[in-house]
Amino acid sequence: MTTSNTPLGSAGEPVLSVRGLSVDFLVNGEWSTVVHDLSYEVRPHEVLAIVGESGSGKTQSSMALIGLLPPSGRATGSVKLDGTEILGLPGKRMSGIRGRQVGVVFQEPMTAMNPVYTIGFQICEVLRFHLGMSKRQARARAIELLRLVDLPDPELTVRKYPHQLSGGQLQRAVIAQAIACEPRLLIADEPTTALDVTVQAGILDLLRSLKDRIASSIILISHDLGVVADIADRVLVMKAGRVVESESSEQIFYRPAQPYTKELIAAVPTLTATAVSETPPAEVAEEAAPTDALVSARRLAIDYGTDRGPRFRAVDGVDFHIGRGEVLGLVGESGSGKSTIGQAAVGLVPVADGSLVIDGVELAGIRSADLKALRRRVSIVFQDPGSSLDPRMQIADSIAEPLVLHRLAKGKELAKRVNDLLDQVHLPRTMLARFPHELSGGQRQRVGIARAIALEPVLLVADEPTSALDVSVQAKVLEVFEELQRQHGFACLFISHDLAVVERLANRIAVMRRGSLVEAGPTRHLLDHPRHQYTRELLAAVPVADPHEQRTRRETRRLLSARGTPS
Amino acid sequence: MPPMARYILRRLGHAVLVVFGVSIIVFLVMHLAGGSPLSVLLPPEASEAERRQYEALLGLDQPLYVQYWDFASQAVRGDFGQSIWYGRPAAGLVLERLQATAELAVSGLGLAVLVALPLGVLAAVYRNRTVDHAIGIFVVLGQSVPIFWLGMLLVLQFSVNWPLFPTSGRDSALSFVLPALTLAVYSMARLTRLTRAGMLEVLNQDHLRTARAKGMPERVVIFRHGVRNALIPFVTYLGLEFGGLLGGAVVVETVFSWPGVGRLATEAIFNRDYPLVQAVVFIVALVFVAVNLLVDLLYPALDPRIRLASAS
Repeated sequence: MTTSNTPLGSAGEPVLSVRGLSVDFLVNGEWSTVVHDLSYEVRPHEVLAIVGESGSGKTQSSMALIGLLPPSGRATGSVKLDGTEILGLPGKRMSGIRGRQVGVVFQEPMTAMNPVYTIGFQICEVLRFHLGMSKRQARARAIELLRLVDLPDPELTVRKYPHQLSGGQLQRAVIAQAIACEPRLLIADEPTTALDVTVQAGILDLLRSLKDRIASSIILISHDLGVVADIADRVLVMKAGRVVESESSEQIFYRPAQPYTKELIAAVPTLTATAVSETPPAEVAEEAAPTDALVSARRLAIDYGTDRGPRFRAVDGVDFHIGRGEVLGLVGESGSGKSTIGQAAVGLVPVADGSLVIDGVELAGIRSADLKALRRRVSIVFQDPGSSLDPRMQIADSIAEPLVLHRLAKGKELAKRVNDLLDQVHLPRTMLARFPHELSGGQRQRVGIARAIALEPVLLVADEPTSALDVSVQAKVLEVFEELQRQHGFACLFISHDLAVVERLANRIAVMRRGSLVEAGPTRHLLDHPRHQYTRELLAAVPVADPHEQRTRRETRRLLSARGTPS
Repeated sequence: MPPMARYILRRLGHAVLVVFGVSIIVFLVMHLAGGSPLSVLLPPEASEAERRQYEALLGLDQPLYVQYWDFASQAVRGDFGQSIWYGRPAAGLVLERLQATAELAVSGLGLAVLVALPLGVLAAVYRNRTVDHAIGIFVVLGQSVPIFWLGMLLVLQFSVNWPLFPTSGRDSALSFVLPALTLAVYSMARLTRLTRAGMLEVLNQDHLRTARAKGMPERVVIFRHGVRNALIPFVTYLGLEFGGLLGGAVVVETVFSWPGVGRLATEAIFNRDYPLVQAVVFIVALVFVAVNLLVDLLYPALDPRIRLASAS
């Protein structure tokens, strides 16, 4: 509540005041409430993080502020921006607030901008509409804005189309667009989730500096407590549409009051490595591949692209090995070639050069009959459990399929094996007759794992198996995975961008960058004594769910980048 | 080579390949279709010697590849031989009639686009509301009504009952209306459905939400950001639709006695006028390829991702 005798927007006055906000959706003719009675305030220069898992209502409650709910949604309650009620304003007046007083940055920069217009056009559009600038004024301001968000060659970038920029650059352009009119409030909805950690760190630095430079408050919506610890002043924890806890960042991370908050923080995989060791590590040569290695790659090269289109070398000259029963964590940023190696290991993409031997079988130039035989012993779990299961197949059939295809079981024997597999991934047998869309993301991924181990593989390729899941779900899936790996003793190529996840599971880690292997070594050794500059940067960029620790890591990162590496 | 030049060259190369394929099919189909033209040209009582003489005259006694070579090398020069029926150069006959068909097809397509774009956008924006359902009914009717029946119905109502337009012929601007409308309805319905589907997809894209979040008024969101993106698949489809219109022209021209290539083709087939059929099919195919080439070249203007694909 604002008192009428204080001037609007003075230091203590909240920029945004939300009271009793509820959001309902019309589902099958009935209103169901997804956000219950939400109240909070955002003060000037403050970063408020709204944290929660998928379905917690964190995004919908924020979209409701500026009338961006889908047509089937409605919002009730009160939302005051600088003391003026804005909830439920008619279209025209709301238009004057969106983009002008409230800017929004969305999760996926690659799709957030219109592909057929230049960056400059899209920024100028806002400036001309809200501020009535002339074409030339808007252009000059757009270039200024691109410079403000640290994009290289603003004069050139302003003429570029979205697809010509990288994800990180594009997110900077989206931010430039959102702050074009110097809004009072910036809503950033998972602004770094789609980006690599090192790029993420840069965007977070930018947001941190912007709130002072353009005097704007920020609402950061995130599922990532590491990101939140990095930037938030206050944190609002949501679960199932309700506020669980709303406190200062310090309180939330060091003295959480609610069990759910504690749970959430505990579920975040934490990287124990500090990566600040200044002593130059002893040169430990990566041990040569033992002769009995299950997988061994020598000068492995893999091309990407179709036969007709231009090809490019996605992986070049990579050497690695995986022993029997060993888990090798393969980490790197998007485009580093880590997934390509995973696909080559199951024969989905051919080996272009060098050698890749799995269980005694050379994959370079392999014949399709041999490949089929090898696939009985090698399987893969994909990243997106939603799209890697056939939507029209019951769970039982999905799990049974490899057994049926390889004619290993049928009838009662088959049913028994499927039941066993389901037990092993801790899914109730009632799931057997269900279809993928009736399962949650975590359950679907367990089905994917059950299917992958159905043939008792000697090697399992896991390609970012948990990165599409919420942290608490991820924690459980990883538990299942660890258990199975212990029981069955399969070797695993575990591909992930998340160093903390890899640290937990892998015996050894290999770091990739731009198609090459940067360094590899036993997990502990590599994390504690990274030899390569890039590995150190990667380690320093991983946000941890600890504001103090995060501050020191930022310093480390600054030192590292001051030392300068070409990136 | 600049990427744009490479793109154009590649498209041109494809077009040449397609034309080559068409020439082979046109040539072969006529020879595999059965029924010798001699049986039409010559009276049944013609002697074996007379038959031979005619065969030699038309080159029908030569091996197939020789016949193809003759056909192709002449076709390149625009020479498809004499029409057996008319006794005049076949290509000339086709070109005379082509203009009439082109006028019909272009006005039909224009009409279809003018109606389909707004209808499709309207249906998508008001998805599952009354407007959308009404447009849906039109789409189903438009695609299921046989063209010849619709043509006759229109003639009955607008030429006979209410004598507003001529029943047939190609004399005045008024005589355009009914044939063009008849021809357009099918395409109109199809393009409406296509626009609706395309718009629905675009309306779901993230960048439209961004445009709204920027405070752009709804009209700008729909037209500047939405329709502009939906046009990309739409234009690709126009080229294909043009081919459909050329096919539809055969029927419409018969119903309205329109002096176009469609009617010429029907006659030529009934008369087993080989050279004329070949000329019609080949030249119409050429027009079709040219129109689609044009569409391919228009594409980069609409979509910067194609324009700059190799530049980035």
